[in-house]
Amino acid sequence: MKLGFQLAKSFLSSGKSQTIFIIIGIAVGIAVQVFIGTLIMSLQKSLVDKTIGNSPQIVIYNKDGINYNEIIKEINTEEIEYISPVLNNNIAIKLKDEVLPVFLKETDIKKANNIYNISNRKFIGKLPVKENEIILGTSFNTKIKENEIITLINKNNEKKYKVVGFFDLGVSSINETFAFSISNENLKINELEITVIEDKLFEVDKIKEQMQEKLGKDYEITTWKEKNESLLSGLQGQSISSIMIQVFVVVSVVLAIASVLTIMVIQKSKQIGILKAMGLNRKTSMYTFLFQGLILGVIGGILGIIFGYLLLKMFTTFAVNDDLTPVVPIYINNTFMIISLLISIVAASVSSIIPAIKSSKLNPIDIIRNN
Amino acid sequence: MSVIKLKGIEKNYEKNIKVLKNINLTFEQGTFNSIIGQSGSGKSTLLNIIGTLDKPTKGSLYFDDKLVDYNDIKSLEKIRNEKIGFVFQFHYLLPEFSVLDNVLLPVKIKENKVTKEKREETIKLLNLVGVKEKLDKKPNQLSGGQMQRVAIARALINHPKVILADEPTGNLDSDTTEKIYELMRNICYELKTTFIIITHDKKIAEKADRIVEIKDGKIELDIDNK
Repeated sequence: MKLGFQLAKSFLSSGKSQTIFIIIGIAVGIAVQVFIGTLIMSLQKSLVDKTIGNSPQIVIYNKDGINYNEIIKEINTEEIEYISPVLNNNIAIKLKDEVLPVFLKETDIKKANNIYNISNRKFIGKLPVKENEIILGTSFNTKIKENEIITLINKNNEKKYKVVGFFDLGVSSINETFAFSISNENLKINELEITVIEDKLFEVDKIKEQMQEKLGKDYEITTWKEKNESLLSGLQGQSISSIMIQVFVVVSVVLAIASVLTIMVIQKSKQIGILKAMGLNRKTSMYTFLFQGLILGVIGGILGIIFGYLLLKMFTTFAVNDDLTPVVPIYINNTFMIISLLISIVAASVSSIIPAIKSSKLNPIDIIRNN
Repeated sequence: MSVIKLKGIEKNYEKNIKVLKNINLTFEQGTFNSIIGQSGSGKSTLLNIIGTLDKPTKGSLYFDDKLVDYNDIKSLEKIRNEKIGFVFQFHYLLPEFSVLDNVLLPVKIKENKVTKEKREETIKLLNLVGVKEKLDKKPNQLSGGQMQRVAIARALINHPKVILADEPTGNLDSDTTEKIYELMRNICYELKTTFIIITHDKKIAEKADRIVEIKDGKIELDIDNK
């Protein structure tokens, strides 16, 4: 094995320009794979973040009310990032000359802020701290001013609130209808809004199943996936096309290495013949080419990841919006980088199998006889 | 004591071309043998068969009275590595390696590692063949005679019982040829290594202990020349 490695090293370093070209070839291939893969993943992450990142990903609803403490005991909290108990009310704001429908969420505002990230977005004013304080979607700001006292009405009663702020959650339907106020501690709640940890974002359907099993049919559970089916199918389509591109890039890398190593077997057939005449066994002659594949794969893969990283840096530097933020915010995923390196190593090793077999089958007498 | 024995060796190529016909030969340990014959007479084929590189169509080959089994590739590889040293007309040094590493290749094939003692022995051997000062050089930095000396050192490093040489001086001038033969003869007597050398040069052949002449695939002459 050691001799196989030494021979591999010396064969590769004897044809320096050939070796450099193939390493660059592998590196470019892996760089493209890293770039495309990371770009599509980032695009998806940013899309998902924009669409569902700042809203509940699972909602548990019971029209008869929810006992928060009992539910917490039932559900598996390991997968949950934030949970916010809410009382939802479809009511209206009575203004001088019109009535505006509003979807009021009475909640613990700190917990709601964890889910909706209200205060870190475009926000005017302050979060409510007292029971009769309210914040409204930014669309209301055209008709209602900050610190104005408004009247909320439902079927049976009216209640006055002081408007302390306006939020912008980036979705116009929410900005036009949502309002948050502080919940009374003894208030009955009818909904739990939940966000899950990042790794489990795409497993919400499984989490829903487990919750449904434990809580029973009285509870209506909805996930972000059910609410965003078209987004989901778009993401899937994108993932498949990204994987297809990556597969074709890797296939072309495999073919490139295989062809170079096959030529190398022919170029070095004289040396292999001589070594076999000196007693080199078939295994070692195979290792010689397997190690060449491995060396090319490791060096090409590492360089490829560096090139890919630089490409991504260039992309975030040059492909920017008017406010200089990148068109697609790039998320470097270390696991993906390591997987790409492993793909490069495996691809290079696999593509060296045929040349290795060819070399093991070389008969020294053919070399000696033909000089 | 016989090192190599050939019994009824025949070699046919395609279309029934008979290259060797019923060859029976025995080579004793520590002897210096030459095989002569015109080109196409079958002498190189015979040497390749003795070296287990080529397989006879018929007949048997014995190393130390043990029959060579051509189906047992591992044992063939072991014989080539440990019992035989080859010296070819075109030296066949590996251009990627230094002189020292070229000579050490059979050691690495045999033991997969090189001990300090083996390295020192290699340097002594390179000294014996007269190219010690070139040990760090690449083969392409040497003259034809120097390369052939390195090839002889490489053939000797695993202490084989037999050195097979096919026109080892075919590419060298007469002065160098004479020196190389003198070197091989000295090694033969000092190390008790059997030498079987192919040459078309009768003058050189005459200096061997035994001359075997091959003609049309048969043994034409087998002279004891001691």
